[in-house]
Amino acid sequence: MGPLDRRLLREAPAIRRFLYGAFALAALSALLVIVWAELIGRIVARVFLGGADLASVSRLLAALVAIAALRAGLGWALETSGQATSRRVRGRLRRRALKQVFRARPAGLGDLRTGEVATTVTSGLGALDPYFSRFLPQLVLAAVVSPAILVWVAFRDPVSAAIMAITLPLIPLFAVLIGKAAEERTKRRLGALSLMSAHFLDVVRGLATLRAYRRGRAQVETIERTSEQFREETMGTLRVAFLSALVLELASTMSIALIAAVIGIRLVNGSVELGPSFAVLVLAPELYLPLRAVAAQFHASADGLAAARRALELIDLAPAVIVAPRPQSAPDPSTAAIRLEEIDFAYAGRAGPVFSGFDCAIQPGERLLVAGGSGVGKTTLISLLLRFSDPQRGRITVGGIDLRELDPDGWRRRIAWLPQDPRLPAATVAEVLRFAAPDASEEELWAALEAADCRALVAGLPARLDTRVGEGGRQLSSGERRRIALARALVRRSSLLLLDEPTAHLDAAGAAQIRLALGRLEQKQTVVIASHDTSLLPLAERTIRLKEVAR
Amino acid sequence: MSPALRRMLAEARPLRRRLALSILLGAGSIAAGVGLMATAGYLISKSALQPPILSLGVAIGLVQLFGVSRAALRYLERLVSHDAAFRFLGRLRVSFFERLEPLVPGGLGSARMGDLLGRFVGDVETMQFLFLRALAPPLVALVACVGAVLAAAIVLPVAAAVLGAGLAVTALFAAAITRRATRASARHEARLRAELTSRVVEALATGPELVAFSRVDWELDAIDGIDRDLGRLDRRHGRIAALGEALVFFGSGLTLVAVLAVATSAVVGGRLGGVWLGMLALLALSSFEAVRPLPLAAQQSGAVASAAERLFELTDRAAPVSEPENPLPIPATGVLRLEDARLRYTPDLPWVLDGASFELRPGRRVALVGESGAGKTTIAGVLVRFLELDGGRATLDGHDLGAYASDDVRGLVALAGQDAHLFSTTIRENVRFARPGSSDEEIAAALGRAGVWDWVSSLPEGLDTYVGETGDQVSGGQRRRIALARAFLSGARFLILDEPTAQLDRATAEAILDDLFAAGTDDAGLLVITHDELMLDRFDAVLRLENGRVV
Ligand SMILES: Nc1ncnc2c1ncn2[C@@H]1O[C@H](COP(=O)(O)OP(=O)(O)OP(=O)(O)O)[C@@H](O)[C@H]1O
Ligand SMILES: [Mg+2]
Repeated sequence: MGPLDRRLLREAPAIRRFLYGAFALAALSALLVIVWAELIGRIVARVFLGGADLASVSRLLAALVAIAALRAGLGWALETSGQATSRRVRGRLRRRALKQVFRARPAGLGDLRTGEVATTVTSGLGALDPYFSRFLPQLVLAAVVSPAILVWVAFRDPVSAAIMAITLPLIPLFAVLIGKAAEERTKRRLGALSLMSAHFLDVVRGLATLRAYRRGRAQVETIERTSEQFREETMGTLRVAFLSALVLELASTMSIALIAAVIGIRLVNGSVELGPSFAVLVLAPELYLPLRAVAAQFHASADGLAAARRALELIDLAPAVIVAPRPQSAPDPSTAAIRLEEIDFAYAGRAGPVFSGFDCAIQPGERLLVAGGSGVGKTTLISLLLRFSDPQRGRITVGGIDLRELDPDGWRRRIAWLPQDPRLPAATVAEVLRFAAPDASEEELWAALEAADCRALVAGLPARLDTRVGEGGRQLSSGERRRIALARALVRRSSLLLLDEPTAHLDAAGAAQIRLALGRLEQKQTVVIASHDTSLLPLAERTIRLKEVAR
Repeated sequence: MSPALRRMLAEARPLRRRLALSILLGAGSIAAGVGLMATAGYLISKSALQPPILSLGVAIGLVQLFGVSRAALRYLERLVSHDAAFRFLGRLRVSFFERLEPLVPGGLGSARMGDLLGRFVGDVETMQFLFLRALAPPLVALVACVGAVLAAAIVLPVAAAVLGAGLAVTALFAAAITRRATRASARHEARLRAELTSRVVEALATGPELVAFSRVDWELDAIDGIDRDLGRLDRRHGRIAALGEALVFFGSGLTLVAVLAVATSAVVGGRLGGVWLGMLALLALSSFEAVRPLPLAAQQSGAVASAAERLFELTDRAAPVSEPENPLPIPATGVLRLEDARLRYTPDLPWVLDGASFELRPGRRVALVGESGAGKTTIAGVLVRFLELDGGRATLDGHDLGAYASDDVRGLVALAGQDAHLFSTTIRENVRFARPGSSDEEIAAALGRAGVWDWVSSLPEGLDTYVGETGDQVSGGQRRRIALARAFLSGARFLILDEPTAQLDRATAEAILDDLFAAGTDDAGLLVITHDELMLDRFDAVLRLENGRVV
């Protein structure tokens, strides 16, 4: 794993700008550190050997103060510009990754897991901070300041420079060490973290079920195990990181010790002077400082980098449906017929196809009931109409145009949908409804609630439309949730209404209400209802039984 | 120190040996670094006087020794402290989950799923900095600085005083500035961070709806909005942290100059041998290594404290049902009875149960009907001890349900909940946990009774089929039936089935009920919550829930 990722650079141009700035600051700081060391050497030599008094070195001391201030300022600038870059990069990566996840898995995450994706784009990318604000700046310093010091020392004291140069090959060695061991390890570590969060989320979501079967406590053990696994993976990464840091530390301290000893011996011989030698001794730790910092920051920043790579993988996910390069505008299904022509559709890893050579026409303005037993493909049909996926063979046309020629978003704008298992965002009733129709007026909201038989329900809530419902708010029963979701579908001005099991979880009276509401719908809408509920039959102008047609 | 932080430290007690060790190692490493530079400074100053080479032997040896031990001690310190920190996290996850578990369902109030994940991943992870950044660095700095000042005092007390003052003022000033500037916003930051995670988790969970209603960009904008707020805080905090570091750097420069000044006048005044000048300078410069992490420590202690607060805030909630001190032994069977039960979710909401009474005997088949939202699921919750009554009694075998251990009650009374939650694992594991250790045959039989075995056995991977996250790779009806199979497998004496046939076609539903009633050997008591009026005549009794009463 290189310290810099080409792909990342391309993805986020801000990084390049940051690097140019960092190099300029580093060059300045190299200059300052050399002057700083020379000043200290000169002061010590003058006072110690030259017998100078305080007044005669006071100008030098003042210069030292000024340089200290400048160096502190430089460090500040470097770090804060790194932080700014990190914020920019993480925001961009998060947005693009999430967007692509929705594009690639519109019908649900499938093989991805919520906990994993969520931790990657939040705390994972958050770990880019140490990478940009510490690791990279130190790396730049190591690339600029360390060689500059070496060159300067070579010019002042070739013997010390030679000692420094001997230890330098350790640095590529260190890079190799890091590169080899860390890539695999960090990946595994991130994997363990994702597993842990995905598992936790899964457990907490189903905790009520687990507790009903007395298996709540039993999860402690699994959590302990995944957590221990995570610790082991982490310590594995850390051992490598620390070991390479140890190598660098040793290289640095041993060469400082050696430089001191050799300078000492040559001073005794009288072959060098104290002032420059002392400066070299001050410079020696500065040569290694950025390298040591790189090693120390490596592990923290490797996390961020690994998360960034994972985000790039998400960005590279293939979209679920083809988007035509020049999409046509979507015909209106309330005036144009929808045809499913010779459709084949199968889910990967399942035995038979759900549809094979399936044909069906939905006339404009028609009420179609799609009936059939459980698992026969009613929901699948709806998700094909929503273009969550495309059939493997055959085509779906609207007004004669293949759905694949349309912009998926433009097509979906014509559709309203009641999912079989609606998931309402945690928000107020009004927000939940406006999710489907952002500019609906309050009257329209009430009308939709009325139509979905939940006017009384909402009118009875403490803040009516402004009551928070769902997670973190007023809990709704299954039937209530479905009715609100139905209202949400009805409030959307759509020309194709897709209803998946509209009467599930409702009693006879509730179902009758819904039937009534559906009966009152505007004539202009095409309505497709997927349901096993035979009492909906009279409502439909036409019924297709999937079992017979599909297989 | 905040009370939350103190409680967190108490949680860490078992690890205190490791912590003490890591602090000693850390201080030792810094001391060795100081020793290295000081001795080196002395060594070359002394050499400048051109003494016999042999007299330098001790100093040369010491330099090497300090060099090696600094690197080695630092390596050990890192290993020990990180290992301790991650062990602590493991414990914390377990204890967090152990306290969370009894709160579900019902006890979590306004906490959202994503928020829980945020706390579990984010806030717990933050706790690693409790030692690594908040606790250890100040203690290490204290030990190391006292050592450095004492060493300086041997050479020149006034220089030691200047150094001590420089270290103390720099450390306290830098730490105080960062702490003051970040304390107020640390909580806000922790909240925003969790909100970001929540929002992302929620967005992922409602993905299909976001896509279908063309709300992806809108949702991503909302996420970016949170990120922007967070970024603003991050920027402030980052700048302050960088400022703290710059202050330390500048402080070290000033202190060096001051030490040089007093030492110079001591040399001029004849109170100090000139050879010690360089040693003092380098000692002063290198002892600031201990102070460098302090601004970050001050900032992190705020973040750690607010993360701790958030964790405790969640787990300190009262459990919705209490466990008896000395639970009664659970009878093999008995009559399950509700007498005049009253319950409401919060005092400002109307009564859900308002004098409901009924009984369930082994072998009896009872149906419970009522409008959507009438409180049927609430009754189920009371009978499996998820909810505590506000008035009246729920008894088993004549004793209050609360007198038994709630897990014992759940062993006797199985609830197949309405939400039919599936875990992201195989079909087998999704059923088996209801009775761990069940054989595949038993699982197949249970799936058979739930009317879904034919389908499962037709799958290429059979029981090993992965069902997807929350079961989104199987159809709604299949999901429901897999969840139902758990209740059959559990072998409980009472089965409470919450809408077992919702979303199922007539034929399948009939088949399941046939099976339920036909099982002659089975004299389990059965309470079926249903909306389906057509199947009511099969039951021994039909209870209707109206206005919180059973009629
Ligand atoms: N994402 C998926 N991956 C794999 N298989 C799937 C997926 N979604 C559905 N299936 C399978 O495809 C078949 C058709 O499912 P679909 O959800 O369309 O049925 P349905 O008619 O809506 O049934 P129900 O009445 O139970 O809701 C089922 O066998 C189901 O297990
Ligand atoms: Mg379906």
